Amino acid sequence: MSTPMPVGEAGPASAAPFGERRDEWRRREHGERGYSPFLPLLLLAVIAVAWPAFQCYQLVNEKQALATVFGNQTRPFDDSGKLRTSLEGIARETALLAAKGNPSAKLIVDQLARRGVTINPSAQPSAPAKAGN
Amino acid sequence: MLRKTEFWILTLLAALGLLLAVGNMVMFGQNRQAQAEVNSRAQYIQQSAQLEPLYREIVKALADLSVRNNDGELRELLAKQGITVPANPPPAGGAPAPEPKKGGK
Repeated sequence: MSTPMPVGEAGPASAAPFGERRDEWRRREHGERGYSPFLPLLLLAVIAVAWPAFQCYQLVNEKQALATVFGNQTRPFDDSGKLRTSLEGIARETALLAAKGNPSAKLIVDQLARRGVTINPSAQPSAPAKAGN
Repeated sequence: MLRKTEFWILTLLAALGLLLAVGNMVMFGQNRQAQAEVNSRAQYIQQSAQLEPLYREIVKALADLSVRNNDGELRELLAKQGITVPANPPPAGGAPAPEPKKGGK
């Protein structure tokens, strides 16, 4: 049997609002203590760690994959640079020879022009655009 | 109220989460930059591969013309690029002009 709820008791407790007094009375009545916030906070903290940890793992994997691709590109990239340098060099020299009046060089420059390839002897060697610029 | 151990457990976990989040932000930026660089290099390689036939054709034409016209200037031009062409033209009716040899690259 539960004891009747004390209403209108005199003393310092009566200064508290009625709702709080009622809750406290109920706690005393049922022997309950307040719930600890530890468990929900722990769950939140675990989620707040687990999700970035998973992302971190994925990002590390992605970084390694990119590093592998970058490494695999090194040789073709160097070869491409050499090819471009050679092509630009030979085209420039041919254009200069043609400008000097060499008929064979002129023939090649004309053939290239007919195919839509124009040579600019004063052009600077091309380089790949830097990422993020 | 939290006990002392509970408070420290939660604080440590929160700090770890914060560290991971900041690390992820940094790594995400780095990966994006690396991805852009890889894409740029791939494009450069692909464009260069399209130029290779043109380069071969120019070299072949220069070598053919230098042999056919006995053009010393063209031979010198090719030599500058590390390509040696035989000085004497092949005998008439013989084998076609030899393929230029690329050396020193």
